Amino acid sequence: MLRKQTNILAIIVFTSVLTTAANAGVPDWLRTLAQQPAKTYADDANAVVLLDDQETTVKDNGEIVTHERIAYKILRPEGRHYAQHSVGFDSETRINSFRGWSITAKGLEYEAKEKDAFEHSLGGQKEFEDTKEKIILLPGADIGTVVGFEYEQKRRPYLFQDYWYFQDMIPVEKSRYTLHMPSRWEYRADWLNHAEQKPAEQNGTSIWEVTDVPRIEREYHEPDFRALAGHMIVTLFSERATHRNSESWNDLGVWYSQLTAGVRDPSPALQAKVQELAPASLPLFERIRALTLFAQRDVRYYAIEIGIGGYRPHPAAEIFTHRYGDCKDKATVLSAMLAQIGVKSYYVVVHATRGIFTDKTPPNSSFNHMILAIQMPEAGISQKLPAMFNDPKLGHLLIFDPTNDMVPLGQLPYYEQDSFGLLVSDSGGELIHLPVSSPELNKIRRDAKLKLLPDGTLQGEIEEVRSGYLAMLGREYLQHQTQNDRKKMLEHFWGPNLGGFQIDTFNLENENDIDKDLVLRYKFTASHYAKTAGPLLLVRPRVVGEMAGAFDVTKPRHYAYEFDAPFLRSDTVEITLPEGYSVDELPEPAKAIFPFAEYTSKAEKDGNVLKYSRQYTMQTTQVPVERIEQLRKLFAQIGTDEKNMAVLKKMN
Amino acid sequence: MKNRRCLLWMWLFFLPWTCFGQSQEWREITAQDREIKEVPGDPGASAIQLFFADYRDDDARYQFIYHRIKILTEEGKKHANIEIPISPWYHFDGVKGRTIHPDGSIVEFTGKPFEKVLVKTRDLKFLAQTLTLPEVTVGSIIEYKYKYSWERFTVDTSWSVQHDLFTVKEHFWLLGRSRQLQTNEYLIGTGSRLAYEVYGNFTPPHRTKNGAIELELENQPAFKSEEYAPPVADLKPIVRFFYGGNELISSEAFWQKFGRIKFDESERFIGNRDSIRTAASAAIVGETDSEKKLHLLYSRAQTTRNLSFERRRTKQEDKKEELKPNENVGDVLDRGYGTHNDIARLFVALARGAGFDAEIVRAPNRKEFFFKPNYLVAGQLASEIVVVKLNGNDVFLDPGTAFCPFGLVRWIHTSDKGMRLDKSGGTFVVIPPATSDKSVLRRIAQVELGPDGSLKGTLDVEVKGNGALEQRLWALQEDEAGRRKGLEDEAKGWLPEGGIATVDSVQGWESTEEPLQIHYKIEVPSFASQAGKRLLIPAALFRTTKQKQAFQHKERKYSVYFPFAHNEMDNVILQVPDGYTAESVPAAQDIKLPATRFVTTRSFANKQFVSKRALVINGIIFRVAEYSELKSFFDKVQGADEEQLVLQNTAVSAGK
Repeated sequence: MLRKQTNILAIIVFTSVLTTAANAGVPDWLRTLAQQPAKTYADDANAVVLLDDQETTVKDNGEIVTHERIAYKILRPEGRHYAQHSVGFDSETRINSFRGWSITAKGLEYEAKEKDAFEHSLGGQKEFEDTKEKIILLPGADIGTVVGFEYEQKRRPYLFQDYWYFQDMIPVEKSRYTLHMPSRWEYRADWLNHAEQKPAEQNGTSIWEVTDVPRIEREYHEPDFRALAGHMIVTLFSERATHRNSESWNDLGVWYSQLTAGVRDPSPALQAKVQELAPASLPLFERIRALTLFAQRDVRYYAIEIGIGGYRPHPAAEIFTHRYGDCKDKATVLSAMLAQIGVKSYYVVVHATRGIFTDKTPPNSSFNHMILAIQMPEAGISQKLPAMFNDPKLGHLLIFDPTNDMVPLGQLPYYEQDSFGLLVSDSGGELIHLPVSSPELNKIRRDAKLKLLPDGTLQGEIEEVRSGYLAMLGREYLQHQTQNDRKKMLEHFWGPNLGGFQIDTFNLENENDIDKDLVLRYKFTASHYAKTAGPLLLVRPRVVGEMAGAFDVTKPRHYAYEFDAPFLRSDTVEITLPEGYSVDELPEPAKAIFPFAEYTSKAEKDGNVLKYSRQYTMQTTQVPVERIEQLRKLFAQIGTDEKNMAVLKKMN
Repeated sequence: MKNRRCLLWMWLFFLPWTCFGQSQEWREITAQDREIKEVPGDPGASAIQLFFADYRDDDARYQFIYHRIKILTEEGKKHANIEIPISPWYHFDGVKGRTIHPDGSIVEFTGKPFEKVLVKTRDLKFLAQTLTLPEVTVGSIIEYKYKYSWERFTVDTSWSVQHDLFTVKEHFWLLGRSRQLQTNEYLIGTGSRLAYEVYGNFTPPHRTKNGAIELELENQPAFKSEEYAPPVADLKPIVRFFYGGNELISSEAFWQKFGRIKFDESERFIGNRDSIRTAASAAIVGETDSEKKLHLLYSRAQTTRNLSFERRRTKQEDKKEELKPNENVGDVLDRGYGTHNDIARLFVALARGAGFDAEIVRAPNRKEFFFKPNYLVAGQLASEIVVVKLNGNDVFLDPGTAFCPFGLVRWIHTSDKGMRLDKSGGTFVVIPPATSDKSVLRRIAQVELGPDGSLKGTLDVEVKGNGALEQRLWALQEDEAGRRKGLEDEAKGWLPEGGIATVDSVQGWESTEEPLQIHYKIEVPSFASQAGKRLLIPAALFRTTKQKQAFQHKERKYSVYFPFAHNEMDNVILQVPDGYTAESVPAAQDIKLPATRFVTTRSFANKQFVSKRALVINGIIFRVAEYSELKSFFDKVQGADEEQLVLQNTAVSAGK
């Protein structure tokens, strides 16, 4: 279990940086922090922020200079990474200075300067962006070491906003935010996930400070960190920055609308393709579907984000020619194509993680994804669609995400449901609540027709039909695997619960037809399924599928419990009994009903067939912390039901 | 100078790409390329590599790479996103790419690749050239080729024959350097002799008329590892090249030279010092038994602070902490710290000082890969262990591994060849593994079943041998909370779903010889299930352990590999509520194979269910031919573990 550093780049970084900080010039502010009496924290707190002092200076010309001092004390081996700090830069953001120091528990001191930092580009395999970061990695990263970093960053923001994140995954002893503003500039401070505090103000300087902020803890299925952590958004206003602030969602919409003006202009090739894909002879909805499928499948995801390219899409004509682009490019090319058939569509800027934007979120631009709202003419609405949003001004808007190629037109990816996004119209913008699908639209229906042999072997076929987001997850899990690998994955998945489990045949239907339910059918043999106990044969009628969610009963729960989306899961199992055996005893039926969910099951005998059925309905995307005890009871009852066995007896 | 270098690169770049040893032009699209729809034997694969070329000329100092890939599924389009990492010592000479549509039309990549900084330090800059090919659809053929060159260094290269994609045809070509090479740390000698070795089952390369080495292969399947397979480096077929001097005439010559160098180096370090003899005498004072003496010397050597098992430090940290490289065992003794090999050498010196015949053995590390005599890389035998003559027998010891008990060698160095160093250059020996009875996991649970079927009680775990050693080495990196969490997570993994284990106490973290003992409190909700008047209780408290996962599938491509032989011994004493009698108690089992055995006994009396279980895995490699038999063995183990004790509620039965 020893960790070994094998990454050659990491080794190079480790051995080549920080070779020149012989005489550490630890500043007084850090030395004072290192000498202050230690407070007591939970034994699994990896580190503590001793001080985070962020000072933002707004210049009259619109430049923003951030000066930050941050100091951590490492409390556990897992906290060693706090000896590493990064600061980003790009064509509009410059790092004026960057230094770091460490003071070990033994009193050894180290210093690293900007020239000791290493750099790397951000972005993964599917993107190129010009943003880089400088990273300082300090020596002496042991338990008890205090590390400190100080940097100054100058930027010309596209939007006049600043953020103060004062809550972390580790405790924060003190966090301070200072804002210096020139005359004629104003600000608005909005607090999120924390009670608002008034600043101390003097001569154009405002100072906020919080102390002893508890850490955000990890829990099973908790909301995203950013939806929980306290932070403040500062919006800056000035006549010099008109149209570059976000006083309201409408302002933000106007800014984005202007930024993207003209990008949806079509090229002749694009127009020709629309005629080919969506001829007027087709019903309107089918024309729209043909174009959405094109954006999903034929425009490959690859992001090139340089400068303002993080916000502004590439021109539709260019995207169409290259057939690749990021989320906003895909939305753009689709919007341009829809316009060719007379269907108007609007950008919806969202965060791909639910909970970060809520109805209480102040206007700000920290979105990370773009989808599209397609304005549906009445003629185009032939069915009730879960992703339909009715806007008082714009009418029926079908929200669609062209980046996710596994969610069909009419549905939304689960992570965007019950979230909030900025609908950008021609005249401005508004924050809208993205629709949530009902449990009936997200189903797994499993039907098992099985036969039990006298030696305990279970054979038969299971059909699993998935719809909605559960179909999407199934496709994500299996679609990109080869046939051989799919079989292995299923064996690996079910095998631990079914002795001697082997898939005999396997079939996946509609894997590429996302408009249809995903159907998984497999025949299997489990050679050690039922257990012989003298004249008895013990059978678990549930056979497959574990529905109870992960839950830590050893600790008090702090946060709500998140579900991907509402769902309905049902199992029907029929086990034909071996000749000469009859059902002697059956498990008790289960019935657990709570305001947010319901689980029922029953086992019964029907001739020589043991029948088991169950249904689990989850009505919500989130169970609040006040109802967590009910959720724990629900999971416990499901767990008990899943372990129950029926007793078969050999007849004389 | 800078301008001259620039001119050289320009010259290389603008040279026609066909003037070197092999054609670097786009290849013709063949009918087979056009027709292929899926990967043979692996339907559903996202893409297939139709052609791969790797041409390298160490005299002209360039390497040329060519990929032609056909996109078979949506997922396969990702292959059009290309990232070419370039080491700082290389100059990237450009890339060309294109997309060929199913109708034969060609779309050239006309852009310029983006330069991504992988990492840039004050001295080095690792970049990647990134590009994405246009208009890629399912059925498209994409291809790209690039070249890079270098000025000074020539390093050993290799040909990875198996790729992540099935490869229809591949062509490798290497022209070795004709002039003297600079020595680097991996080479023992100097010279331009080029040797190569083939690992894997494929047609070996051949020499061409101009002295190049060439290999052409067809239909290489995609590489896919398996759980519990030997190290990946031992599975992937590869051709490895080695530059060097006369020692490359044969592997015997190479290792003989290696042995001589390492013998001289270690003997110089060990030396013959009075201070060591004094320390040895002090360590064994009053002891007369040879084995006990040796054990005391071993313990003395292991009191040395072991830097190899501490956090990696920078040079600057070493300097501040006044940690200097040791020059000899005297330094190790005086300073009280050393690396793995320093401590092994100190032990040799102490043992010799007390009159033992002790020698250094250079050992492999099969955590990375098994030793290959034909793989002419000295780093294969980087670790030093010790062999001592004790009462006429060779005893292998591993004093340089922290917490390694006397008599045990850490598993990574065993069951494989090492080199016993001597004046003549050394001899290969097989470093013996510990048998399964030396690495035992013993679990004793005393638990009580509640009326609701939940279970509560205590669990005492004792770990010894390789298992304990690995736990202790892991714990070196953890604090108390981390150790507790690690142990609780492990125990939770043994218990049925929903089980909770809370560490009560641990003894033996700092001990070398004693077993590691962990005392837990455990709880399992819904352990037993009620079926009318009956109570059904699983016969085994602990889930069939991870070994079972290695035997999930009907067929297997690679051997099953366990790090070390081991035993699991379980004893569960379960108290049931009043009013139950046994209707059926699972029968005892005894399942044997040559290297494995599984034994259970179960009894029920006086409200007490006693379930004993022993699983012996006395081997590390199980060949594919043995797989079916072993799978059947582990299926039976799982079956036995899932058996149930059936109890009847006497009150209900009587009432009925």
